[in-house]
Order: sequence, then C-alpha cells, then structure tokens
Amino acid sequence: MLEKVLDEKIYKVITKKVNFSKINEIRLRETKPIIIFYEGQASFLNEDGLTNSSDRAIIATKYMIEDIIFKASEFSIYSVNEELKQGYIVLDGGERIGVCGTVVMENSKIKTITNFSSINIRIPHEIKNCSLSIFKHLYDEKGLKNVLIISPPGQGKTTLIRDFINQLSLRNISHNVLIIDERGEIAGKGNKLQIGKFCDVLSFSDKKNGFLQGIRAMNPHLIVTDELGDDNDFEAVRYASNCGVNILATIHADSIYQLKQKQNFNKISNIFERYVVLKKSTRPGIIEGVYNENFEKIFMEGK
Amino acid sequence: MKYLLLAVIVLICGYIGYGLSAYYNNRFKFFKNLELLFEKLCLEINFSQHKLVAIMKDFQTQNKDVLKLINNYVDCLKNDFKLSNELLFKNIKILNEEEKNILNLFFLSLGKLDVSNQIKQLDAQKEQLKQFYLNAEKEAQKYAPLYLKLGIILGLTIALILL
Repeated sequence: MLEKVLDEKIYKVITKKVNFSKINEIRLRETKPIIIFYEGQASFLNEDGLTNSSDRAIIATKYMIEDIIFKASEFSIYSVNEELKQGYIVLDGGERIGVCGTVVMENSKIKTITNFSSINIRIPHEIKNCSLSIFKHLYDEKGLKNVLIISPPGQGKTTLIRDFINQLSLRNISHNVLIIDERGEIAGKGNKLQIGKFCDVLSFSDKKNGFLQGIRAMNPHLIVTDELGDDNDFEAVRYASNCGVNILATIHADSIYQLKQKQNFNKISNIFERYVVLKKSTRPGIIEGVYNENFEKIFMEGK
Repeated sequence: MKYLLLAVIVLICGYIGYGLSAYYNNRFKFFKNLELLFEKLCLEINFSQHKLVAIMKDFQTQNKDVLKLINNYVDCLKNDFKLSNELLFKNIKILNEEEKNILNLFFLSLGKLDVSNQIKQLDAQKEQLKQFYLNAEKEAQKYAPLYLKLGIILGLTIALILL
C-alpha cells in the first residue's frame, strides 16, 4: 500500500537501497530532512539510502505531505475525517500515518485537521512466532487468561497480540475471537494481516460501543483490543469481564510500576491474570517478563 | 443522375445542420447529467462516505461525454493528480475554455474537505452547474431546431439553383 501513497522517488530509495523490513518509521516534517527510523535508530534519507548527515538528505515539502495524506484517503479526505480527528489514517496494510497540522475546533470539539505540517508513517512488521515463548503463560489447560500487554509506543504490542491470536488459530483452538480494532492496526484494513481463522473483526469502532455490540452480536470467547486509554475503555473491559469474556489488551506504560500509577487502573487491576511487559529496545517484540495477577514475575526472556 | 446528385447535396447539408443541432443538444444533456453526478456526489458523501472513485464509477449514465469526463478524472487521480484541462477534457469537444476552467476547479476541489464543507462546496457548484444547464437548455431550444432547418433549407436552395 505504501507504493500508492509515497512519492515515487522516496519509495524507490526505501525499497531498493534500504532493507525495508527493518524500517520502523518514516517521518516527514515540512522543509526538514526526511528521517527514517531503521532498527529503532534515526537516520536521514538521501537518494543513495540512509545517512547520518543531513547535507544531502531529501527535504520534505508541504506538497509532499499533503499529497501523501490525500492519496492515503484515496482522494477522499471526507471519508477519513473521523480518523483524522484522532490524528491518524490507517492504510490497508496496517501502516499508520500520524498527522500534525492545524486543528479546527467547533463547539469545543475537533472538527478536522488542516494545513498538514508533518506526518509519521509507522510500518508494522510481522514477527513470526514472537509470542511462542510466552504462549503457555497466556493459555494453559485451564484455558485463556485475561492478559494485558504493557510497553511504550512502538515496542511491538500490536505485533505480539496479532501473533498470539494467530498461534491460537494454528493450534486449532477454536475460540471465537473478536477483535475490536479501533484504528484498523491489528487486522489491517480489510483484515489483510495474519489473524487466523477464528477471528471476527469490528473495525474502527470505539471500545465502549464495540464491546457492547460485539458481545451481543458475536458471542466471543476472547476480545482483543489495542491501547486502553481512558475511563470508557476501562469500563468496556470491566463490562466484558462481567459477561465472562476473556480479554487480551494492550496499554502504554513503561513498567508494572508505572502501570499501577495510572489513574483509574485500580478499576481493572483485578481483571487481568497476566501482564506481559515488553522491553524498551531498538528491536520490537522483545519480552522483558510475564507477571501474574499479584504482579509477581513468572517468566523472563532467556530464563 | 442529376436528381440523385441534388438529393445527395440536400442530405449533406441536412446532415451538417443535424450535426450543429446535435452539438447544442449534447451540451444540454452533458450539463444535465453532470448536475445529476454532483447530486449523487452530495448524497453519497453525506451518507455512505464512499470514496470518490467508487462513487464516480458507480454513476449510471448514457451520456458519452460525462463517461469520458469521469474516466479522464479517475486517470488523472491515478496519474499523480495532474488535473490539466487537456487531460481532464480529453476527447470532449462540446465545452468552451471558460466552462473547462470552471469545471476543472470543481474537480480539483473534490475530496479535499471534511463532509460538511465538501457538501457546502458541492451545493454551490451545483448552483453553477444549474446555470450552465439552463443556458445550454436555452441554447438547445433556440439553435438545435434552427440549425437543422437551416441545413435542410440550404440544401434545398443549392438544389434549386443547380436545377
């Protein structure tokens, strides 16, 4: 999908002169050099590939940025405005384009974003079997556990949950899995990413309505969702738990300690049976440890 | 042989008259269909929020010029959004330069706004199209039968002179 969105010159460089599978992010800021996060490290992009010097770097223009957003919306900004209001657009392949510009407010609510000045394209990568080492801690003879995956942004939370649900499918564990895919990142637009054969996907729904509707309509055994954030999300998780549905969710935090400090986390702290903490690393998907419901470490990568 | 030749002359002049009259009728039909397309855009953007290309491709019309315009527009989008008059109105011969410039601006502004603003803009553009349509209708009512009659009369006159 990126080839349909990116400037031809940039696309050629990042696919022909750089190992595309190691690119995490592409950042374009108006009149500034284009920056590529390659294996977690920032480099400038020039016509020969990556460089540490900004001298010959390709400079992003306003036109370039607007063009990418326009193409990402398939020439129909109105159709992605709800996403834009939240600051991003998701492409078919699950790539997320975060946008910055001028926020237009109406009645104290965001109406749209215009005058785009920078974008950040996050490229998802499938890390096959990255959940294998912790699989037995999340699913055992008693069944599925309620699991919360914890890490700062960009450390592979979504990749990990996607792989886990695919592993369930590969083992023919025929639980109905419902993915509440608020940003279309878990399954990708049109469910093109590898999510196995037992998944139903409710795309671009907020968690509160998604959980309610999904539980009524699809009779799930497990609900999978990304990035719990506010009180509404916590309420949705509590509702699902009270309905007897298992939860696999992710949340932004640096550590178990930071997670406990989160406002209102106590509302859902008794729901989860396993906490998986991802390591801050240049490589996504590295597991720091798995903790039980009492926050005791029960697994450590490499031990 | 002479009469046959005269009949051919009358037919040729009549055909030229028909061609000129068809030009005005086609303009009228073109603007009428274009107004319908913009009506559809308004509805679809407001309710289904389908993508522009899908809405355009889904538009049912028999008008060849509107179909050409839609295809040219979709090609332009795929070709890095270069909307020149030359590309957008390729093989469309019924529009004058001013109309082309205005329609180009209409198409250039499509898909770049949020729903409410896009609808407002489309409503304004529909008004302008309605004006084009009414003018084209007047022209068609006035000139289409006139040129057809003139063609036949010219043919008959030439035939009479030659006779």
